[in-house]
Amino acid sequence: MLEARHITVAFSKKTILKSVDFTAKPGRVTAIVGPNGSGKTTLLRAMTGDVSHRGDVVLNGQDIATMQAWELAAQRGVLSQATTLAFPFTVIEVVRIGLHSGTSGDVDRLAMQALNRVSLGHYANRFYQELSGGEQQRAQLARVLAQVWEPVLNGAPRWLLLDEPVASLDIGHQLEVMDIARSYARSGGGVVAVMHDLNLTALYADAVTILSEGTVQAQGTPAEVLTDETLSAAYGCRLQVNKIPSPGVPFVLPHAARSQTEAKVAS
Amino acid sequence: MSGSKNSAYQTTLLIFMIALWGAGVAPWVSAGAAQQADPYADVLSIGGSVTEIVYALDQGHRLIARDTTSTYPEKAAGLPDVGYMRALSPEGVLSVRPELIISENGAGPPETIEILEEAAIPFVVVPDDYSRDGVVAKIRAVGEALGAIQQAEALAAEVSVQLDKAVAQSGAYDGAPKKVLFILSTQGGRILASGTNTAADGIIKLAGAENAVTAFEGYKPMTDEAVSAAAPDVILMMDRGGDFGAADDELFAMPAIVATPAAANRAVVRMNGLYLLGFGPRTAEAVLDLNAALYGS
Amino acid sequence: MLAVSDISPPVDRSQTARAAHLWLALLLFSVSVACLAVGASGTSLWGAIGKLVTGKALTQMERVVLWDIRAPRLIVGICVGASLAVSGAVMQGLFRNPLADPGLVGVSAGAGLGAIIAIVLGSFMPVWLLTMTGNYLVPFAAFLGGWGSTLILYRMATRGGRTSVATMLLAGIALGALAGAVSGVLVYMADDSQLRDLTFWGLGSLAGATWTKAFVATPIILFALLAAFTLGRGLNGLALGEATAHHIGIRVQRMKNTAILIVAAATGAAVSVSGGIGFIGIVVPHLLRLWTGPDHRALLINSALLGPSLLLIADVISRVIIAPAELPIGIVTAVLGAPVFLWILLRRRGMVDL
Repeated sequence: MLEARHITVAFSKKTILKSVDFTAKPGRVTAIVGPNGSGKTTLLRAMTGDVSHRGDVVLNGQDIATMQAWELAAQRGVLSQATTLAFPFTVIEVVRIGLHSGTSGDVDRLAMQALNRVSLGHYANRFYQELSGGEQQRAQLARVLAQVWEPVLNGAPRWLLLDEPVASLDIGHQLEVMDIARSYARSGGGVVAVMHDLNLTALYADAVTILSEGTVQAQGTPAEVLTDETLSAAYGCRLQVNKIPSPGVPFVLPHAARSQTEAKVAS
Repeated sequence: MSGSKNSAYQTTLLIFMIALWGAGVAPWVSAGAAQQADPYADVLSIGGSVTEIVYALDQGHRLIARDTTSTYPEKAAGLPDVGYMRALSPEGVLSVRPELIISENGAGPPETIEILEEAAIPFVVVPDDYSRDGVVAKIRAVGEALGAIQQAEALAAEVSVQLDKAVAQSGAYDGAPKKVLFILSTQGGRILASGTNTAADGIIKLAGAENAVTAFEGYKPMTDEAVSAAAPDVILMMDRGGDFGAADDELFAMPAIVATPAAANRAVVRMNGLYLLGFGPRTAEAVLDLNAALYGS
Repeated sequence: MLAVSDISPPVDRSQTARAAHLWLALLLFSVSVACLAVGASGTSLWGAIGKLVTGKALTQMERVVLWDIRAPRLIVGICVGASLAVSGAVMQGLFRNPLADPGLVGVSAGAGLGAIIAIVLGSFMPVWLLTMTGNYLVPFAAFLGGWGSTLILYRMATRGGRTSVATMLLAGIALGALAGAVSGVLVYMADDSQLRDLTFWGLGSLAGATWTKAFVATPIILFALLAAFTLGRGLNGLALGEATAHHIGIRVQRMKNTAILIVAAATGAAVSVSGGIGFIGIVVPHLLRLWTGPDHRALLINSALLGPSLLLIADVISRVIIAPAELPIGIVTAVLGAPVFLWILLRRRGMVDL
């Protein structure tokens, strides 16, 4: 269980999060969505211990404020939106950075497994800086996966905290990454992902939290939360939610954009 | 509060550690010096004036090496050079296997001198004083170190007479003494000039002139205005070779100098540095030369 | 698909890095022997060893040259070379920039100021201090200056338990300028001979190595080096940024504290015994990164082996090239280091982003 209770974050005068409660359960992919500036990333960073905040974050029953960095690292991996890299490390070396030095054979095998998982095994010995933006993002995901490779350790779930994991990926790799997240959850781990794409969210998330202006707008399953009213209110624009017939998954259509396109085509 | 206490503690600890190690090292440093037979055959001379005196005492054959500043007489230039006198390398000095080292004041660094003492090589430092008596005392000190007392007395007597004559002759001019500005360098348009208590100051006085700068001791950079205010009649510099015509034009065009009487008369004297400032056996000659150059006698 | 192998390191570099420990240790050993055997005086190391083995007495010349000159010089050289190279590697890791050097945290400026104060104002110091430090007033002042200015900078850059590396960098520039100004005033006050001392101090040299210096500097430097070797994983993590370093379990603030104290102690001690010696701190880690990769766990150890080797080679050159005189070692390292560094930069240009 990953719980955030009454999280308030303020930078100088501006309050980013106002007493937000958030819960993610292991075995599920929990998505956080909301418009730009709604506080999605800040909420995630409060839960990773990167942002000073009021309120408590409890990871597997323990307050993270009382945990050492290495204890946290053993229980959760974090994928940030953009990770810079100093020095010419190779891809496999980047993945290994996150691993505690065990026997080198094990470390190497685990790092390779993680790279293969994101289909980057053939780039293992390339320089990281030579990869494209999307490939770098997947290499970072491999690093995070390697850090918490077993979704369940000693009976306790481990967590992937992902900040826009598909932001710079093409559609094929978007699906690949979301499949990885889902299978991690299915194996007993927990996944929390900040998402931009509402349709991917609808396809992959088991639970969704909508943030707007620093407060929780709605929480529940995609079917419960992704509705015309909540989304239009949260994003401040007309959105229409349809259903893909066969699995009954919600499908969001941006209203204004469509009508504009039609207008252009007509003229 | 605790921070400053802490660092005071660290400092004390460090001092203590250094004292401790120093004490541990001390017994080795005081190794006994072996007595050697006089006179020393192989001599290392450090400092241009000392080397000159050694040659003037007819002891040049005993020199086995010299430092960078020892450029006169020409025979000296053929000797191995152990480097600049303030940055001597201990093994370099030992490698020429001197039995005696005679040095001007200021040889270093101290660590090297310490090791030379450890190696039990006699190290004689000759006193430095930029005056008539200073030259005589220097000659006596070098002679004593070399065991050439008689030659030294003879040379000292000769040089005393020459110097007295030179000084007397230099003092016999008409009118007011000329004000001389000694410029060590004009690097980057900045004038590095001599104040009091320098070899330059000494030689200017001996040559019957006045140092234009008495406001400070040693060599210091001067502002343009201070140079103008000092109003030197003559500029004195070291001769570094090259085209003097162009150098003079450049010198007198400098804003600091352009308004001085020296610039008006294009009065500049250039002399060899060791000859002018060495305070050795040739100083009497240098005094006369400088005097002649200043007063045109 | 383009062949990946033509631009990729052919093998996993962690193996190379471990093999490099051995090669570099061998190199350091050979260079050390050379350092004891080569010198202007032509005193033979082998002859002396032969005498020791057969129980004959050494001549005074042999004893002084081998024991009082070359041996402390070797030890001080190893310590200084290791300090400079490892401090360079640590600073580059900390600032995430391959051009960073200990100068950035004010060590050099502070040490320089300390040395200048000691050289110029030495005669005005209280008598007890002069008697206690003796000939070692300058190194002592340099160490205090380097250490002190780093702590001041560090305190300025630390707010609420977090040290801002950027603030430290900028404050370092300001402090350097201030130290430069104070030094300028002192240089103005200095007389001719003091100016010469300042110049030679600035060029650096191992010629002043004595047992006293070796005994004082060695424990400080050894301790700092051992502490530095624990920073490897932390600096690797920091290559991914402070946030990610925290995510993978590194106590970032504690690591920064340790790193800065290590650099201040090691560089302060090194600069105080040898004066300013450039390029080792930048060239050595850079060469090693090209050869065995940027993994700091191997890099720090290899720097501690290659740094002394290069410094000792430079030292041997400096003492024989114009023998019996000696070239300041700072000149040799600059003359050797600068072209190598440029060559590396130009050859790798565009290949890997610095």
